[in-house]
Amino acid sequence: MKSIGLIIVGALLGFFTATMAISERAASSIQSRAGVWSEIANAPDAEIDPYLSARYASVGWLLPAQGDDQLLEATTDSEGSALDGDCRYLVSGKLPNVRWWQVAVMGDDDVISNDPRARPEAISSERVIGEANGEYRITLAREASPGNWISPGRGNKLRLLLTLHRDAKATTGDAMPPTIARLACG
Amino acid sequence: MRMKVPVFWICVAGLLAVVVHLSYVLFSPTLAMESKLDRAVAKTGVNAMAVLSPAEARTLTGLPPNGSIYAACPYNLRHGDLTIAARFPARPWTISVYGRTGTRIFSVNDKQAGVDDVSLTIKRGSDIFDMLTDSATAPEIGDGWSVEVKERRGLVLLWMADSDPAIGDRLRADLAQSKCTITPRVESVSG
Repeated sequence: MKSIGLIIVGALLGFFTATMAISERAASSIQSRAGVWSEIANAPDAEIDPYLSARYASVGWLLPAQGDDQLLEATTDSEGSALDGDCRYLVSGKLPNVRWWQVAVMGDDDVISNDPRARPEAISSERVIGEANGEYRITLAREASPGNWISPGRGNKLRLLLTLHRDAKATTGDAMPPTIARLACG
Repeated sequence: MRMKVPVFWICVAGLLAVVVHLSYVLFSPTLAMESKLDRAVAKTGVNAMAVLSPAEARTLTGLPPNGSIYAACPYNLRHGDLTIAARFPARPWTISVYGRTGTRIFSVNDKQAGVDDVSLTIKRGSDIFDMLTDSATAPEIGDGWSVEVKERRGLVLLWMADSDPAIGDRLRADLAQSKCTITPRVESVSG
């Protein structure tokens, strides 16, 4: 009986550690980080981590395109607090020197609309209003805000995605991820 | 002597844990992705291009569809080579080729291509063993215009930046002109 119990424990242990390893948190923890931003797609020529591939495949998502593209994710503000849909944030940084970029917010409400005008969940380099000093400021809030604004909809647990489509000659300094400052909550 | 049995079974349990762990990481998500691609085929048909709705795009990529337009072509190279004739407006775009398990095979973007009308051919590996099984070992070769793949089935995903929802419908119509067609393989007759 002990042997059967040990075998069951072994199988459960393998299953548990595998699900933990490919879970979002575990996968993020093994990727490179730039401040609060972690890379969830491989940089050019990087090796594809099997746990990262498994994470994407397990939820049925395709990995982002290879090459000069980069996808970064933040789930906390620059102080380390989890992004909350009830709060207002200021996402700001230097305008990336890449051919196209986008900041998007995704919530846990799983509401997917086929109308792109339903809510501004993303803003791209072609639509962002830049500052005179070469920086940009985006307000993340449920309520509409003047200037650059993205809305989390009804989601509460948020994550920000920064997509960078680089030129091959672009350097890391050309596209530093923005800071995320919490303005107010409630 | 009584201690040897638990040690043996602990080793067996540990080995089983490793096997289950690796099997789950390597195979379970792969099966999930295959199922997903099967559903994509059921929706668009095989070897046919379809512009995805924002909801479909988000389900497939996990990314916010706002600011992007996607088109997909689930392919099956059983009867020949696949030719992607993509027509992009002058905007940032990417063509990505995925294997049936979601593995990334090849990508090309507008800067690398230098043109906005692209013809990309996807060919199956020529090894007879590869033709009979999907566990091919032939290397994948991408020269920008012709890609040799080791998996018979997969998905081609076209992405294009969409800056303004006001012109999104026109951009979607432009991308919808892209074609995904199979060219039947000419069988050589020997003797």
